Amino acid sequence: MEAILKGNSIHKVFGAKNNIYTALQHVDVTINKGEFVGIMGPSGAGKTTLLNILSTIDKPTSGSIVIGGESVESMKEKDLAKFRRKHLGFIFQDYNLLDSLTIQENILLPLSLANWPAQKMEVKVREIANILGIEAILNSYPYQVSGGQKQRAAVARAIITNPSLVLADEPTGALDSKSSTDLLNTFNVLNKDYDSTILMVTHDAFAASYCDRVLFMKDGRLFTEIVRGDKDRKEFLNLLLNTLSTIGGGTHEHV
Amino acid sequence: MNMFNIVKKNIKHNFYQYFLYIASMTLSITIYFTFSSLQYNKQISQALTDTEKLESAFGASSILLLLFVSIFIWYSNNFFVKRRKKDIGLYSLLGVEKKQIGRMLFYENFIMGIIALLIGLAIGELFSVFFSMILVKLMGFSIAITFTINSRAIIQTLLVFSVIIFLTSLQGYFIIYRFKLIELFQATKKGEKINKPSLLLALLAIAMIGGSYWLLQLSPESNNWDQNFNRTIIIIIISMLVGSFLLFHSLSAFIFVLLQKNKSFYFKWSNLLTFTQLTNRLKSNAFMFTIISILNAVTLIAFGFGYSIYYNTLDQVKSFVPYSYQYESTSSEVDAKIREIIATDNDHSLIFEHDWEYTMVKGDASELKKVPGGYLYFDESFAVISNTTFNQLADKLDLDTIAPFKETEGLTIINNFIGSQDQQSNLNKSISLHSATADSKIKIVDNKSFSLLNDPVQPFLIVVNDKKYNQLRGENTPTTVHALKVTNEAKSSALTKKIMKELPSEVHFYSFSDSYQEAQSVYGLLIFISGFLGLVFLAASGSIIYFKMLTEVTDDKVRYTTLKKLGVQKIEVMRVIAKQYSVVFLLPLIVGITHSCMILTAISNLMDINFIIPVIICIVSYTMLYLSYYVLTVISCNKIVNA
Repeated sequence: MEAILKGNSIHKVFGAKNNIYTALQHVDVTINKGEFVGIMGPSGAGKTTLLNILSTIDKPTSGSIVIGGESVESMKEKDLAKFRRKHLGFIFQDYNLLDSLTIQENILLPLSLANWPAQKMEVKVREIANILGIEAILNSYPYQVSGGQKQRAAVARAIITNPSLVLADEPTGALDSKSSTDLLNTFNVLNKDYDSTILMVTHDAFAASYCDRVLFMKDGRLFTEIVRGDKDRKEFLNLLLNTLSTIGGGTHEHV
Repeated sequence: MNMFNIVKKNIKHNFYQYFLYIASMTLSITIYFTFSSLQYNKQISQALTDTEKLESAFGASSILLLLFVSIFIWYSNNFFVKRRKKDIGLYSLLGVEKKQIGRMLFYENFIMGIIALLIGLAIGELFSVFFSMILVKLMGFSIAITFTINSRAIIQTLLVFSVIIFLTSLQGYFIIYRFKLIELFQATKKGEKINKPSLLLALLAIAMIGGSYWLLQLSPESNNWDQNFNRTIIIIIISMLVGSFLLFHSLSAFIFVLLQKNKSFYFKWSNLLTFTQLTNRLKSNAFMFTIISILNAVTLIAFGFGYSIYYNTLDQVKSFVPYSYQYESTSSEVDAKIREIIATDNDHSLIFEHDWEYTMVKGDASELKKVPGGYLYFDESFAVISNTTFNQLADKLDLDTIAPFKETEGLTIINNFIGSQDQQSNLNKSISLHSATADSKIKIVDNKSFSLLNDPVQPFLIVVNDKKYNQLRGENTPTTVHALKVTNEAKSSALTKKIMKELPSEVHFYSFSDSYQEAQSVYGLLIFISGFLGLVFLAASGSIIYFKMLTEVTDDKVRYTTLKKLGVQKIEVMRVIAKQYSVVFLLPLIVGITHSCMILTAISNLMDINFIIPVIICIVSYTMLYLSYYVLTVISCNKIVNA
């Protein structure tokens, strides 16, 4: 299988001199094309730090990251910005849609950044909106629609450029359970039918149970890894919950 | 932890916001104190012969300034309080009593006010020396300004600002009582409603601004202006103000909608971000835009007008003071002595010396449409000169000579300081000159606009046929005018002093250099005050936009972080900010410049003075200063976003 992302011995230290906090200790991660991978772990385990580093927003203290065959850590700010634009899609817990733009304008922003012609952009937006079922709200503003709809719009924005890798940071964190389920099903559809590669950080075992593979983190290290294989979702969920209780934090109440 | 500790911690944590507030208060105090120090500066008032002028000019301006400074402080206080609402809400939520919160805010504001007052006085003291030097230079005096502590100015400033600070502190005290807890938390809630562009309002905006421009450009000579001057001015000002607001509020929304239709322009990401943001904030910005454009216009009008007058001083004085020296000749010895003084002077030489005479004759001017003030001033008399005398003078002064008239015809000479020089409305009307035997009716066949006398109040001059003149001369005593013209007359004050010594004190003596000095001191004062107020207004409009943009960008920080995560480079983020703010700064500037040009054109027509060059200099220098505010704002905002 082709590796989309390869992180080698990623080390991250915060603070200086007397007040050092090690957030990540030599973490190795590989994500293959077409995979839907979850990262779980209690608060403070280093999930978000890892995601930020993998998504090039933050830099590791040491270690190497290769995304789509390109080595990221040596790139300059300017090149990184272009790289993100081309290869990565982002989904955040609090959606991060721009308030002053309509849903349609929010979705087409990455295409606009890539200087697409106006007509092609509109066609593409319609196509994506159709997959995600948000055609009806394209001309509304973010503050006029529900949280679930906002997150779908954010997903649309993340995948509209066909990125090699979609990075999601607690995407269901602000959603009710119905909207969460809808969103996770959408992820499955994107993953299975459109061959998107997705990396999702979550503390919610229910959300993680939709993944193909879940990495567990604790105290800045990779603790263990569980592959779903042919288990059904319920079985996989129970397995995840058991693992969580062994490393502490994250119990059934999160479901 | 007591209240004082909380206040101290507050200041530490929100230092930047406090700093901005203190800075804007300090600015206001500095400006006011500088101005009042000048107002009560003994050196300057001693140098001026006519202190009344200084007092009235400064007095009126200081009231304007005070009004303005209070509004500015009130604005920054509101700005500041708005940013603190969430803190206040949090204290309230944590169970701090309303009274305690109120007291805390009162003390906080009061302490900051006192700090600002002390700093303001200190800086103002330094500034006042600097500005008095400028004032003295502009007024053409040669005195050295010394550093003095001006107790009257200090007391006045302390008094005025203690009241203002007390009132704003009181406003802070009551804020907790004015709002519900939920409102305090929603103070910076996002998602303003977007204006629905209304074609009707947009058209109204064009109509109102267009209408006021049309009224302005209508000749001030028109009957409408003449008869309803006040009403016309009020209509113009109101329709300009309301029109500007509607322009920003509605017409701009309309233009944005049109832009949106051009998809390939609108969907370009930098345009998309710029215009959506502008449209989004239009409602709250329309009012600010209006204020700024009015401030810009007022500044440009005041400064443009003052500078134009100053710029034209020499020409103005030349057209009203035709000779270097003019006096009533008493004896030929005195004349000879003066001739000798001029001949021995190294810096100046005589161009011409000429004696001529006129006769004051009582008469009736009731038929005329326009009568110069000199007619009434000299007890309803005309200053009559003969056709020949006029032609001799015209020859000396490089004016056109005139052909001989009939006995019943005449030519008027009216040189208005204010108002158009177009006095053709009197043509073909008649006046009558009284005489012991029979009044003679004179038909006015022509009018000229220049001065033939140096007198500050010029009589109503009328040129008649030689024969008629001789007849009138027989009945009234003529006045002989002794006129001299020398080279380099603008710098002849030393010579003037020498000549004055030779003349008996009762003789009316009018010199160009005195008039020039007088004009320079008056116009110098005028340009100083207008320039000072101009700078103040510039600082104000700049600061208002600066504060507003800083607030917005702090609220929008998340937005720019998102953009950066989406792969927009820092430099591109800065470009978007620069583009967006260029519209914010330029729109009110353009509207302000257009308004001021229209009004200045009207004044220029009214006064018949050429405004073009000085006004262009003004606009260019104002724009440069204004744009430096733009650069400052972009840099500060960029720092906040890209730090």
